Amino acid sequence: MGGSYPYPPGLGQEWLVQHLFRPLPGPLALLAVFGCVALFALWVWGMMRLSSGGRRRVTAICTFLAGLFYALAFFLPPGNVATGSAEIGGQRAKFTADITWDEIPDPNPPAPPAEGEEPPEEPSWREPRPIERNLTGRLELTELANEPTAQDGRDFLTISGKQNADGTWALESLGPDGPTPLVATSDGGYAVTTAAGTGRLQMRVQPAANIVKGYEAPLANALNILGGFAIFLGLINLSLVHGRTLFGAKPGWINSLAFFFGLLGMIIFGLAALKYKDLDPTAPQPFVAAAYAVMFDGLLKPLQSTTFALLGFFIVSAAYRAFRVRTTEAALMTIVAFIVMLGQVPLGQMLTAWIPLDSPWAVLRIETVTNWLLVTPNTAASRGILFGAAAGSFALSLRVWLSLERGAYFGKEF
Amino acid sequence: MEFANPFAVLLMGVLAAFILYNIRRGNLGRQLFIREVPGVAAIDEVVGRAVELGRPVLFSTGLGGIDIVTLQAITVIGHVTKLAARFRTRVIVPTVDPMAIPLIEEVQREAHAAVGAEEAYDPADVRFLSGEQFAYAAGVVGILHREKAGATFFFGNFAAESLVLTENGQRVGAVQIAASPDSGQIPFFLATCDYVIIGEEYYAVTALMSGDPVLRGSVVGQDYIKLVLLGLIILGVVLTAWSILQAQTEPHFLSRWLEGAGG
Repeated sequence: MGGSYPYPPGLGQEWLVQHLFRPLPGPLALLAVFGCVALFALWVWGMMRLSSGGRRRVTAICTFLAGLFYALAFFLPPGNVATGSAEIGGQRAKFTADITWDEIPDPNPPAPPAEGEEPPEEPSWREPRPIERNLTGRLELTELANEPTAQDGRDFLTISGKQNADGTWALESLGPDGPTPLVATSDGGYAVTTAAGTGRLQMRVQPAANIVKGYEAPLANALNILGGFAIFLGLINLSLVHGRTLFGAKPGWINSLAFFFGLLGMIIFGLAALKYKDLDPTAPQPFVAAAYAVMFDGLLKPLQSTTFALLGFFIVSAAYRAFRVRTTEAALMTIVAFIVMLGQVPLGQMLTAWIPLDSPWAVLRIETVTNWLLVTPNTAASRGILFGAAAGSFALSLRVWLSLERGAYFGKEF
Repeated sequence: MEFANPFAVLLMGVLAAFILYNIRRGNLGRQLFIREVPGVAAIDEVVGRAVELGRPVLFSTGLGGIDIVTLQAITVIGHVTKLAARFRTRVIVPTVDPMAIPLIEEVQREAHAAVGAEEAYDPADVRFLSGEQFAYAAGVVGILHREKAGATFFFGNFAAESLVLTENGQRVGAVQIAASPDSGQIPFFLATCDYVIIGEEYYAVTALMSGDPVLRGSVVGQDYIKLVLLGLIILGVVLTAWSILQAQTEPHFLSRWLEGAGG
């Protein structure tokens, strides 16, 4: 392998990405899906078999481990820094370097689209490109007790290198005579030759990214997949609720019937229409594709927009209720709201447009007052709430993580 | 922030220590004071009103998935269900996230069992409606009107649908309590709900309801955290003003620490 994937060597993350978190072809994919469903069902079955206390303990352990994982990912240093020291020609030097992750260019890049041709669609999954961990640093050859005297090629030496797949580094120095490889010594250092003489460089590189961070993305993928399975829980729940209403001929059974028609229609037409997803939308559509378009674009989307549009009417009635002046606070809020509303519309701005912009009274122009109200007191109050909420969120997170929270699944009952 | 710098590690450590120290104080039997929050004090009364009317309670956890905000809402569901189950009143919980269903079902089952009302527990009261914002809102509005909810609780993360939900709650005559740590929807809740729990009060609900020393200690710890943050803000203002007065071009030490904390 020419380079490393974006994980430190030897942690197994490369293997996960290359073998586990990748699309599988044909029957293997189906097998993997059924395997995951079986595992999921087994886990749910196992949890249901446990007593309430047992479930709580399992949840507490899982929560603690998950919290520990994210805490380590955050608190462990990123490690894209190398530091060290050297002794060269009787002088001591210090060494600092930055480490960058660079993608190795694709040896066979896709051909660019011809003139007038649309670029090919991005694939939904792409083999991770190998990424190389590169180092560029500077050896500052200065006797630590003395003031530095900058002389290029003597006092400063640029060192660069790449990390090998086994985690070691291949370094070279860029002196005035061109790049010179540094020879690794038996004590883990490097032999350096400069214009000032020869010496030894000791280098310490912090772990790449950090040991945990690299697992975050695969874990997030796994959680997304788990979330995907949860939709079946939702479907079962909905079917039970509406099935009971429908078959029990309870009031509103017609709505439940509509639910089953909608559910089955969307599943059947949605799956059947997948075959035609690349069809030109301006061409005549087959029945299933047209039916799916009617249900999704012609029914679901307009209905959602209609619910959203209701908001306009509700804002009016809510504003009426809010701005009835019954208390001092309500009066204050009404006055402020009135000023802000006036400041937002041209008619309101016209009221104070006669105040010249360069006059000392310009601060009384309604748009200036509006802006001040929105930016200063409003932001201050919002941030106050935000700080309090952040403190509360931190405390609750800590309680949940350490199983100090109360209630089912968290710890002891109230 | 992707990685913590030493300052962030120190700050988080100090903040966590404040919480854990106060939890310990609570456990040792110290009387820790937390001010009353009217919205929390009204929870019993609001459930009682639904019981008197013989109508169910509706509890919405908003649009959030299983996160810390929703977990807090689910804990409150347990308390509300316990209050309502004593009088065989249903608590209907429409949810936007199917992953929350087993969690809420378990909480409700245990709440019913705790007050000896196992026979009143109905898993159909936890309903997944839709993962889509306005489809969910339409579903909740439908339940509000069909079931004629006597009390509604809106605890969690809400967005534009908040007003659609609470205005319809008003129309069916429900007594409403809304709670959200996010300030975005607070004005709408204030306009339409009888009680509103805002910001940090959201996280103090369980402590106030239960009086549990661990939870009360944790809430007192939050106050210490706010003091630390306030101290940092004041220090930042003073240092920045001093830098400007001295015409310093280099950022002061606090600024450098905080910039570094951004990873």
